[in-house]
Amino acid sequence: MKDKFQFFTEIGVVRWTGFTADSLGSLLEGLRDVPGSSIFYHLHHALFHRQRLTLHYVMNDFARWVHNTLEEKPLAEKLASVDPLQFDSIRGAREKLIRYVESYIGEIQVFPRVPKVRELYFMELRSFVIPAQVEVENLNDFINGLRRLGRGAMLHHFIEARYRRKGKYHNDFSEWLETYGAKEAAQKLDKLNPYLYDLETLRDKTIDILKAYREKS
Amino acid sequence: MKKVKLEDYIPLVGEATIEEIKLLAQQLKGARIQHINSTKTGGGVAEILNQLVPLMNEIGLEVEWDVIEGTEEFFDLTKSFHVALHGARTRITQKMFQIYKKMQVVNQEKIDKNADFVILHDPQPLGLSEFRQREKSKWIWCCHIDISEADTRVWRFLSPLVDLVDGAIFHIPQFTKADLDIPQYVMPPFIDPFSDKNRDLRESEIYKFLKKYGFSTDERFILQVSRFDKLKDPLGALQAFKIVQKSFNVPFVYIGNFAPDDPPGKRVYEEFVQEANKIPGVKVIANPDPNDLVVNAFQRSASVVLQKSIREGFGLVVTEAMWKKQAVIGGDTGGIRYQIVDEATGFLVNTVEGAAFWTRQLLSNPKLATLLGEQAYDRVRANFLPPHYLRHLLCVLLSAKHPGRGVTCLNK
Repeated sequence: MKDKFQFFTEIGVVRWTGFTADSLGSLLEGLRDVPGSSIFYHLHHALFHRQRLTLHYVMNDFARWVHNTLEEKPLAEKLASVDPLQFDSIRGAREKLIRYVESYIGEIQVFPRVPKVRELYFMELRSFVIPAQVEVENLNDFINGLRRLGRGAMLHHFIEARYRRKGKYHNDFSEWLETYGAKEAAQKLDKLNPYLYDLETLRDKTIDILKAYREKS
Repeated sequence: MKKVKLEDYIPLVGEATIEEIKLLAQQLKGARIQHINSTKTGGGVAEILNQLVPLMNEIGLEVEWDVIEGTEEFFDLTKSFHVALHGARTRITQKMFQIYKKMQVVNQEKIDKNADFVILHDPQPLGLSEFRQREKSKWIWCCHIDISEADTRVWRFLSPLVDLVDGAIFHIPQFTKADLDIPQYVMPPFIDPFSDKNRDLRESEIYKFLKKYGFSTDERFILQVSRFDKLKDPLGALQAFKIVQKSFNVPFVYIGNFAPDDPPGKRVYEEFVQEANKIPGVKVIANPDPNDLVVNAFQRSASVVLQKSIREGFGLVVTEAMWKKQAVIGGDTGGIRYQIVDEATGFLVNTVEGAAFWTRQLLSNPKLATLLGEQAYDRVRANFLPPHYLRHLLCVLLSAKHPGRGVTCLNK
């Protein structure tokens, strides 16, 4: 008998960490001191939860603030290039961000500051992972389940899974697909880079891969 | 008016959002929740609770809404607190603090001793936090105003009362307070898409309300809707219009309200009318009737919507215009900055000249206005409707129930 797949969803509310930045100096301090959950939020959640209305909106929050508010575009480009897929942990991504800011600052000790209303507020997500009332055991139901669930399910099974999983695949869907016998779809899905899409598009891409596999087999 | 159900929002926010609300509600099933504020009618908080309470009851929570009582003296002083919390100068006396505390003693009997959660709204009932029974219930304070520049004396008096609750909610990050010891959550407020102010209007309705004030549906005009308040910069909007007038023969409509018992509002109105009378093409509509439908009709028909504020709370009037697919040109301040994605859903401006520049661009390029307006509507649809607020609020309640940071797995 094939395993069932239980969908979970992650739902949260934004919370202020108590840290703010008003200059490159305080940005560096913040990057060093804020909880990992805040780095995760600005690198992942904020990116996935917003509509990609302008080109700058595809940047992570740190890069966007440095670009739009501090107008330090070379540094913004570097920060935007931090690809979370290259790191197994938040610590790795944090260190990369810190290195970029440190090397950009160099020996500078005095930084122009922005007014309070333009400060970067380091936020984090306080969230809950809840079992959705969707449990499936075949591909059709799996596709329907994906359609019914929102960003929270994609976030949990596709984005956060990357940091919690130790197995062969980076996401929860692929593992189940392999046990279901859909190894090809599992591998294809695992190669999908989530950082190139918003969550809805990512879900649609996932569904497309599964539908193509279903038609082929 | 038909009672709005959670399902009615599915076409606007999607099935998944409603599903998530139901999943969260299951985690709080049967919880007894009490909202406390200072009025059942009038004002943004009453509007929010009128929407929220029925929806919360619908999802299996036991929700009640109570209002504190107070003498005229008490409500006068809370008005002064309100002004001071906004950072404006006003007279604050020691006696005011004493009266505030005294009224909280009187109102403590309003607290539902069996409530699992008590949610206080704004400063008026905040002092009830001194009477909470800590072991029994979780308490939340919702701050619906901008207290980022709060008068030190008033804030020093109120902040210890805030620290007695389990979490505080603010509309945007800039409204949070560094000196609080409790978790501070950030969640934007919402507009009611089914209200007279925001619902779709029939062509005949738009025609009727425009005609009432001398306009036709095929006429182009620039619009600002806001109270007669210096912080909304009505004179700045007028100056911007004067610049625009050099290139475009399009009228400017200013719709605003002021109460007879609001002398500063009346003064701003009189000053504005005096200036407006010197410029051809300006139409001032004060206290329109019926307010919500007139505002709705004008917002839907405007060619350009301005909100030239120099200080703003969240600025739901901007949300309302964005909901009507308007690319708003808004002052780069408060919640306006949070709502308008510059050059994508509207324009953020810091000067009269900036407001005039983008007004001319939108007047000369209606296709751009339409594109940005569509994106503005999408932004509201994705972020600023009642289900979004409810989903966040349920998360705050769960956070109070399960204190901690980051992710918590709930396996029920």
